[in-house]
Amino acid sequence: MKRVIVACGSGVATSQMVASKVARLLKEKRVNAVVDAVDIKSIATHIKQCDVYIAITAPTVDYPVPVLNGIAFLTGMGMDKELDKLINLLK
Amino acid sequence: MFAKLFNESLVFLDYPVHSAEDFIRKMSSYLEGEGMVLPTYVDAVLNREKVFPTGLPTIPFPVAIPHGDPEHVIKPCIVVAKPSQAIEFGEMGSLDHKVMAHYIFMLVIKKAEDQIVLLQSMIDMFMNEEAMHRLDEAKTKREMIEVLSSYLHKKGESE
Repeated sequence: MKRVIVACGSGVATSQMVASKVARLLKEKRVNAVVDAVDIKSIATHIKQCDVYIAITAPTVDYPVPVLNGIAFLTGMGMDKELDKLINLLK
Repeated sequence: MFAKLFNESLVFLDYPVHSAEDFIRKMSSYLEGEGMVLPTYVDAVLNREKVFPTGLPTIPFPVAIPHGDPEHVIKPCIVVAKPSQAIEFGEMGSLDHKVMAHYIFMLVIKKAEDQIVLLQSMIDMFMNEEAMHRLDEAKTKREMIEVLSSYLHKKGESE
């Protein structure tokens, strides 16, 4: 099963909201994947164990996996486009 | 869950603040007085806002969702404030963009897992133009709670 991680500053509010929203959207589209909210401080460990990283903070370094824009899932703006990208990455 | 987190004493209409920092200081001090947060909460929120800003450029109204790390929270709650003027917050996920927040929802929470359905329906509400216009038309704290409840209550209770 592919794994998606969502990271925010505390791993408690924002990333949880995005993770739960993404999980719901994927379920609606019948795409199987695990979506986990993680703390940005432990991103270096999690990034090695995931297929896609949904970022809520401005990315400052390059990551070895595709990075998507998590803000789109909070504002609705550009959300369909990010969701399509995510679904393609999970195929 | 809705009734546990929201109540009229945590709704502020025409709240007189002039900046994000001013808001966070005043509100944290109020929450500390109410026994909801520890004295360390204010700095936790201010620092987090600097590194990871929480302004969201939602339509129709930009909002901000400032919050601190859970270890500074005693009793979870959600503050709803309509500042007397739009307040500049850094835009989430950006290093330099700003948004002018018309509403500030301070998330005073310990474990998001417990409130995730409610938090998610809040995010859906921010994107819902009809809901946000109804909130904006509310004249009293009670009316604001009623509007919030009508969009968030059932979802929050269903889990």
